[in-house]
Amino acid sequence: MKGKGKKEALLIVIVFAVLFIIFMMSRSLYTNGSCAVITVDGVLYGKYPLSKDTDIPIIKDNNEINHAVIENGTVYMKDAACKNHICISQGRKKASGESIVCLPNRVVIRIEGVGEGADYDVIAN
Amino acid sequence: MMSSRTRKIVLLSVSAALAMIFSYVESLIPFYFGVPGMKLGLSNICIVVIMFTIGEIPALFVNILRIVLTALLFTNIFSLVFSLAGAFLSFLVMVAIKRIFRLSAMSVSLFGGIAHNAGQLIAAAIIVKEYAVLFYLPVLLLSGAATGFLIGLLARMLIPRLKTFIINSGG
Repeated sequence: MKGKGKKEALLIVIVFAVLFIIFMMSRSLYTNGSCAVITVDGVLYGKYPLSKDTDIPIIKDNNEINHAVIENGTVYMKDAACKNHICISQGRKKASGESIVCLPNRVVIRIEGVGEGADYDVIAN
Repeated sequence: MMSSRTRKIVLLSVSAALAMIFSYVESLIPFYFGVPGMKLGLSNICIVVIMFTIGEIPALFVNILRIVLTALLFTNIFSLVFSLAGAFLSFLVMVAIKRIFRLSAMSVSLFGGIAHNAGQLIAAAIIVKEYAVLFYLPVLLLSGAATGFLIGLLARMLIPRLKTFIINSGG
């Protein structure tokens, strides 16, 4: 019984270690993105470069359901016509692959591409 | 004195009510670390405890009851779908850990927490048809493991005490 408990403790430590390594690896993949891709109901709504400050009202059936803003290379959800406002609290995003999701309105903003400030630009300079 | 059967019914009802309150309290706390769906998962303590004191199927029923009632009372239909997906995946994983690998409540809770978050995120990815949300998988797996571990610590203290409550039926 005692030996089994030790094995189990070891298993738990290993699980935490593996998950932590996966977590750190996924962090290291961060690079700044170049554009924000917005989809509504899984359909492409528009692509917007992060280099230009833009106000993007997201309109569905003549109603403004969300309002995204691009500012200083980051994108955030300024307003949303939903109850929980989780998308607004997701804050500013700039890394390639990151996204802001508004589930009630089925709006997704995803950052794609490799933009200014990415590692290889620094090396090229 | 109460029979063992009555005690089980009492324990199940109290657990279901407690799990609902946990869900409600969690929805009130702005516990948010920049990742959607990150939660403490307090209600899972009831599920793990029932699994080890009464049985697996009652645990699943209490969890489904908890999710449906919480969704009707406090949240919305979206969270219902995500929670159910998480609940079923974590249930399957927890039963596997308990039955096949014969590990303690500690590991059951840990893997249950991981599976719950994975299930929720996969459901979200399928519903929104947007696989970018899987970007959050690493951090959600880690947080699920952390909360599952803490819940496991509590469950380990509770289970022996509740077992004596059921057995001491006074008969």
